[in-house]
Amino acid sequence: MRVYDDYEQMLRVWDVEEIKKLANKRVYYQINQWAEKELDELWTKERADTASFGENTGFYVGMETIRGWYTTLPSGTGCYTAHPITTAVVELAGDGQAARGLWTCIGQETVPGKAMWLLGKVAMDFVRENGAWKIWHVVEANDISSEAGTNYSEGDPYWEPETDPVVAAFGEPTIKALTHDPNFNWWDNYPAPPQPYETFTEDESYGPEGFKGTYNKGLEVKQGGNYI
Amino acid sequence: MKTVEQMVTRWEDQRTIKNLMGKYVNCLLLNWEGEIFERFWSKKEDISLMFNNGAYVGQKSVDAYYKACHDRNALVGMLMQKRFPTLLGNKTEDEVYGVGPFKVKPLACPIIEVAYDRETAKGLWFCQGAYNDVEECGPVARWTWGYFAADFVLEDGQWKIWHLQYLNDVDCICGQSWADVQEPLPALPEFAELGTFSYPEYSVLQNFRELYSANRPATLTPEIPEPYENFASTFSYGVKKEA
Repeated sequence: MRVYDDYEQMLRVWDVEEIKKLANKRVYYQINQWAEKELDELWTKERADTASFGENTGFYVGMETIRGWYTTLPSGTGCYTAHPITTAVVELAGDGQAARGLWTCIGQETVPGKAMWLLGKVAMDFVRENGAWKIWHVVEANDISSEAGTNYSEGDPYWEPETDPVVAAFGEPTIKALTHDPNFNWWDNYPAPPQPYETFTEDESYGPEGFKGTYNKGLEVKQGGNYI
Repeated sequence: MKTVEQMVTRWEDQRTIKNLMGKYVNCLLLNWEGEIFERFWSKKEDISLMFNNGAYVGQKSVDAYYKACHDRNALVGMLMQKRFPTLLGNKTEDEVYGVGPFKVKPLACPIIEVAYDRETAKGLWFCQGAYNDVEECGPVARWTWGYFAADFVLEDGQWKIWHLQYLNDVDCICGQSWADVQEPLPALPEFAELGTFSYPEYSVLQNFRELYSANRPATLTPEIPEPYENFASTFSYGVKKEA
């Protein structure tokens, strides 16, 4: 285990503060419908080809591909999306060049005439570029989507990706994979909270290489109702 | 390059400001609005407190607002006592103070910047609130989602609120959809007195932020703080009057 002197330790304290601030800033950029600005200002420049954005059903890979999907997000009059994050778990790599974080999110997405609750987790890898922290990989894993003003307990008890509007809105990602199945939250620890680590590896990342498939039998049959 | 001591001081300033706002919303939760002005606000004359449709400016106006909150809490307690005599009838005025309102204003997504001259600071939070209060219709719960945005000033070694904006995007009765037209709950005669209660008039009557509706154009959050040298080199969360 590395030993840091006081100065190095305080730098590490501030690194974590700056990383949390960056993740929070992304929340406000989303509310402001600043999709392009978010990608241009907050995301990696030097690792554009390996940047990724994932949801329950796969990953968009590469900044331009992510940008292409971002431009399909609802915007303009009557659109209001907020994915506020809390409960930060942030680990700064021992070498100080990368970091990983996981947050809980009770969010909502609204277009004229329809408001949805969206509850889930947000995971991110960060990388230091030219002295500043940048977003490298994002996974927004959705656990619950439910229309506002409806009785949640009367909704369909099982998630079916085929009928989920969040899945439909995600479109055709670069890599298709059922990474997170809300029917099996208690078994499905993806994305998992980050653990202390020394240096970045793709294998232990929130990018596509960090998703290892699953031993979850429920995910294999893809139907919570049938499995239970 | 900063020294360890400078980095620690900045970190402590940031934590103190985070705690200050945490204590502020705890006071709202506990209906201790009567304490907020003395405990948390600056002595500067140009303090301001902004809501969606108006702002209080100056010591006297901001103080009067919190006193009115206290008075309204007392009125609600008294009406609840009348409405529930078996449960509350034998309680004193002090004991029923606070019965009814439950104003949950959790603060998330902080972005706090302390000026490099350490005289001021600014912060922005997202608040996914649940505002449960007693209105003319009786007890009612609302989702209140918006922002706390504030300028802070260091006075006698203590961080104090200088300008505060509390602006909502959503103020919706729970169980209804904020995407639809809100259906108000019917008034009840036992709470009619609340219809005559009014807060002090705003110092500035202005629509600072429109609540969400299907017709609302894309609306920016309060400005996001960036690192800054001194207050002259940044924006203010104070009241800018319409031209």
